[in-house]
Amino acid sequence: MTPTVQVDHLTRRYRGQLALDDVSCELQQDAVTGLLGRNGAGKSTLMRILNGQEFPTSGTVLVHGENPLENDAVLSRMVFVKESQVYPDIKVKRVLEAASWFYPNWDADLAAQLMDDFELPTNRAVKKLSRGMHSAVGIVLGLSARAAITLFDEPYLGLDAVARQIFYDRLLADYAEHPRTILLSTHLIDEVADLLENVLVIDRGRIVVDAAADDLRGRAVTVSGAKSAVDAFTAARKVWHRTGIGSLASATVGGPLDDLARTRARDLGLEVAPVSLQELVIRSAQLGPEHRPERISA
Amino acid sequence: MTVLVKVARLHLVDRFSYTWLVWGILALTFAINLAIYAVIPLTQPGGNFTGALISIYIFMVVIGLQAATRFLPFALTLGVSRRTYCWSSRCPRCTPRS
Repeated sequence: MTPTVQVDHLTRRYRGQLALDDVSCELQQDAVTGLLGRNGAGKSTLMRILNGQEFPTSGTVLVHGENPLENDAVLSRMVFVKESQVYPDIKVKRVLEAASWFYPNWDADLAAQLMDDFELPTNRAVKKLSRGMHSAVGIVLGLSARAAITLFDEPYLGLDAVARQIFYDRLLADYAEHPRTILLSTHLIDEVADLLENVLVIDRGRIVVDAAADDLRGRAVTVSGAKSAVDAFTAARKVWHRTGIGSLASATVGGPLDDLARTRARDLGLEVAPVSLQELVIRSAQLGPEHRPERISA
Repeated sequence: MTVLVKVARLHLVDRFSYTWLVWGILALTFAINLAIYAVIPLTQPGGNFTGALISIYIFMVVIGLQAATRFLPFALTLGVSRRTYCWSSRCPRCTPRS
């Protein structure tokens, strides 16, 4: 696949605080990539730099082979919906009307459909909307724009579970019909796990996981059973996380396990379970830089 | 339609603030001044000057602040560069892109 976005040794520093630390990654064309990580990990900073809204301290960003900073040719093919998106004091229908002028592929029918789905009042001023409805406007805008590169920075703030599911469903359906490069930053990892083709996990400004979602499954496993058996199994392995209660224990170890290891686990009476994407992110963040395994890459 | 025109159009979406309110303030200022003229006798040769037109400049400052705080973030979302936005607002510090 062709990379649409190339980030090379990108660093962003704010008055002594390192927001991004030598980040290098690529966004594949026409793929949904999840940008996952904790609060303050550097997700929003990375997205703002990709959108040319922020200046890198060092390193380069290329979008469609060009620097996005003040570059109308690049930026006109992007839409960036932020967590706390600011709108002018105008009605919802005016927001969408204005957005439609900027995107040649704008789908008014889709916008109308999404407005119905989210039960958004078109004639109400944006500032009078509830928190969830405010977020829904951003989602409608981001999806209907059908921009070549769509950046969603935690766009669901205040949205209830039903509305979030509508967002995921509509995103997937529209992406299937009109493939484009989508970068979705989120905390709700389990909810979006099935949407993602690629995963970027950022922690303390560094990319710790950069892999296809399918490749990540089986990157780590949890073994659980008798404490002595778990200890025996994990003796020669890098343990990401360990918990125990009484005589029982469970440990997350780097995988994938080969047949020999699986047989040994079975012989020891251990249960082997795959680690979910959310757990993988949590564990990789908990390890800390000094104990973390090498960057996981596809 | 160039990006400059789109950005200018974007501001006119807020028709109340950018069109009716401007004329409303001018009309109100004019009416108030007419009333003042009606009750106060002429004190200067050639007519009195009240300086009431400065209200429209104050209004424009407010609109400018709103353009920077409300419209600019929205324009950035829509893929407009700061330079284009600035130029469309006639910011003297920016040069137009060719």
